[in-house]
Amino acid sequence: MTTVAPTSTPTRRRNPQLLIGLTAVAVILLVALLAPLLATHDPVRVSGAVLQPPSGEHWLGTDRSGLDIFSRVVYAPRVDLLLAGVGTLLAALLGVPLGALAGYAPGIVGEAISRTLDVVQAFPFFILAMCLLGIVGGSLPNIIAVLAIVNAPIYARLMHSQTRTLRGRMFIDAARVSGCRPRQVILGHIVPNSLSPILAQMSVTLGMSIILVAGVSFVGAGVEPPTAEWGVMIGDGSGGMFTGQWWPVVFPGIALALTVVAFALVSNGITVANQQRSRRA
Amino acid sequence: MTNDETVLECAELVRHFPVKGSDKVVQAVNDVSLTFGAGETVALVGESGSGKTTVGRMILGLLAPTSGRIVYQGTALDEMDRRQRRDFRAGVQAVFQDPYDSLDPRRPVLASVREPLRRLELEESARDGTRRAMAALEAVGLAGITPKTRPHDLSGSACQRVGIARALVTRPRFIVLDEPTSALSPIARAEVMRSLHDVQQSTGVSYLFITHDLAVVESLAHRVAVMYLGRVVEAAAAGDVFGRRLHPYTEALLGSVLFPDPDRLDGFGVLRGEIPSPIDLPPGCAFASRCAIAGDDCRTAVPPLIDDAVAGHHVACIRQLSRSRDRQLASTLRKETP
Amino acid sequence: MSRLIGRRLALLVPQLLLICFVSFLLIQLTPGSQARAQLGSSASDEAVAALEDELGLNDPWPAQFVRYLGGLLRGDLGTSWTTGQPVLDDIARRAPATLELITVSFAVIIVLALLLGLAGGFARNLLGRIGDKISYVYSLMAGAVPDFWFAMIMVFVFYYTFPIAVAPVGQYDEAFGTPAVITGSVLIDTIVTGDVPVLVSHLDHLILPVLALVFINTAPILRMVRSSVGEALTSGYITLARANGLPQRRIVGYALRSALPPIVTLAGVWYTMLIAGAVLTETIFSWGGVGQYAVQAVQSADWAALQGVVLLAALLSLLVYLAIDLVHAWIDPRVRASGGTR
Repeated sequence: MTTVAPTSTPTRRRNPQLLIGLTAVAVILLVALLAPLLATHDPVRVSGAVLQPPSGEHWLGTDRSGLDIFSRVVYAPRVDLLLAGVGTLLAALLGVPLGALAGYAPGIVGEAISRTLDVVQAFPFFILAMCLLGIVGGSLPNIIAVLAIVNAPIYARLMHSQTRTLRGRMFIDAARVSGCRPRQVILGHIVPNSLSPILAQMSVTLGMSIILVAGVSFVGAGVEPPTAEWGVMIGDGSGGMFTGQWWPVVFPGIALALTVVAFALVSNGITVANQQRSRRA
Repeated sequence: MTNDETVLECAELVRHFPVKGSDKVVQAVNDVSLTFGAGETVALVGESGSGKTTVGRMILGLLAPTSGRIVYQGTALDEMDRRQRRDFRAGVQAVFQDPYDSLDPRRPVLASVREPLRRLELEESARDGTRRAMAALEAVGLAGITPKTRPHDLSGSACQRVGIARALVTRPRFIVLDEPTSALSPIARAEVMRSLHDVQQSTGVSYLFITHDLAVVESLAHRVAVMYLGRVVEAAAAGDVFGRRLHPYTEALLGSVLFPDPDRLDGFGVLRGEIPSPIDLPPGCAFASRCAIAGDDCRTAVPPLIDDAVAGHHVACIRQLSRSRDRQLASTLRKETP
Repeated sequence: MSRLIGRRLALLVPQLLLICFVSFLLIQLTPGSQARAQLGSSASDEAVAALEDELGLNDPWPAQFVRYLGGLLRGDLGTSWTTGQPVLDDIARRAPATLELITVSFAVIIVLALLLGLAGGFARNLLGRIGDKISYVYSLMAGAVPDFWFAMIMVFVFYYTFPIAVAPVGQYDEAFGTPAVITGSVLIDTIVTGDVPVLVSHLDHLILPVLALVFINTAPILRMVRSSVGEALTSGYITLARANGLPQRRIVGYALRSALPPIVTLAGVWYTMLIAGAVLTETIFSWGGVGQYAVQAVQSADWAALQGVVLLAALLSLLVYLAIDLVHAWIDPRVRASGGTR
């Protein structure tokens, strides 16, 4: 009898990106949650003169309708995170099974799925989203659906290559010998072993979706004004950049960029953590 | 332990892989027939690329043969109904080459060992499954596995024994061992070999032992089949293969790995020449290009695997066969003409 | 090689059909009747029904799709109701401006990414490490900042605060006259005709949108160059080349050759990303290209125009992907030998 002693103990590796990213995301979520407490004014009601520069009364100034920018900036993540979050989740739920199927199904089926994905990806992301939303209208469910559709191919692609790689691993053969049916191999072994890159990609997609939502809202095809949303705010204030009223544009843009950076850090952190784990194994 | 009951049999197995972007095929396995008796260990030896792993994968049902049949307990693999298929899955198991890679890194090893019971609905409850998985682990000499132990917590030999436990948990009748010791250190190798030997002694399981390590073969195998470029070129009882070694390839193989004694090398052929591509196999004997005794007649037709005069010793070499027959005849004649 | 090209081209046909089909579906999504949209809300129901019949809108969708395809083959993308022109003409007139903006930006991006990436990949000293940090922070920022926001910041800084740049409206100042139209690209046309005043004015107008696109889009390619070169430099054959005392110039050449295929792929994909990136940039700088046309189409519910832009943008992307595959086959001996695709 050999008694098994762990040959390595799980040690906490340094992963500042993950730490900082998660902290920042937590702060942003908290801001969204506590927006009514943090906001100094009603985000969608006129609260002063138009285009006031930042002051003690209006910390970040007012926009051209006289709405308080600080209050709108703290309310915005409610809309942006909801849209991007649900859209990303749906995209992954749509793309992952499709990609796993394409990677696991032999020959013609897999080839057909991946060539179809090629075509869907040939449609420029932003133009397609803008076009779809222009046609169906920028209600929140529509925006979520469009985010899911334009992002799903990314997950299908990712899962396709993950499946292809993992299929050659012996533990997949072992699972089949153990009596797993294809569905059980995919759900029980391939998806769990792909979780890390999927999560990393989801974090990236979240950030990109926020930018996408802002972009379509900027041209008026997304979230409708006067909803507090960063892209709407930037679009509304854009004229001021030619005449010197920078604050309606600059502050929502900074808030948006910081949010995207936070998710990018989380994504990098997940990738690093995964590398650290596989190096240990 | 060996008796006459046949557990598994494969007949005229062929597997060709299409070459991408061309009409040609890789002839990985050509016309391989093997029979496995209960409690018997058959070693399948050959260089990498000889098709031995492909044979193992076909027997396991992981790869469909291009043609040929695999028969488990009287029923062909492709004619099984649901219940027979399940019995086959439970009865034919495998231990793979890379101990770390053959265990799902994300799962506790206990879950991997339990998986066949769970998937094949052979456990009465989750608890029963766990208990039996623990018992299987103990049977291969692993104590101290907890429900949280993961593959990266274990050494290579411990992982390989987890793999053996997983193969044993369904009480199979047949196990494919695909180079189970090649990734291990010498001491770990000995440990794993001992486990395998003990298991066979106590359960009467049959092994297909796929390897290129002839030293390992000698210690465990009852019969040996030598593969070269997709074909079995010699098959016999282990002692006969090592002792009589009729096929020139077997001779060369033994010469390349066995015995670190330079004097003994003389008796063996040394491999020269190029291995033909499995895509464009020559018309005759595939070994002719490297063979010291090949003649023109070897290059016209593939030599069939024929029973040598000694019972059970098959060889696919027209020269050696005739030479052996001549010897046999000569000795008979000598006896008859004193 | 020719076999590979043949297979790749054969694949193009179903892909083209699929693109046309998706674009056809888009119009099926539009709310309300197309006939009603054409006739206006005051038209009688009978008139609408008659037009629907005439347009074949009551036919089963396969028949409608075949008719749509037939139209496409004749170059008929429908008529824009805002401009009153055939959509194909509208787009053809605006495309050179867009392609010029994208291509100039792309060229700058590639040169910058290669220079900085190679320098970073080879710098093993303190300077290299500082460069690493800077490029990390830059990549994070460039990936997080929306392009349209950054473009507006540039306008604010370089036009309003420090009035260095010309008014960021249009492609050139019409006070200098209008250039002769040869290709439609003001840059090429003014160079060809030697129209220096307009050329200078055009360059003045070109610089801000190009800078905006370059800042946002250089980061991913730069990182790719850096990591590919870094990977190549740590590989065994480079170590061998170093050990054999080959000159640095040769080593750079070796590393670059094996780092090239992934860089080409990403660069190609990024060219198609610029098509989308140009949409908002054009709008902000009133560039008058296809991107701005698309935004106007969205804002005025001009579906035929929008459908045309989407279709042609997808076609362009598909052609770029085809080019990537072929270039790949040409520079990567493994692909060349196996006859496989990506």
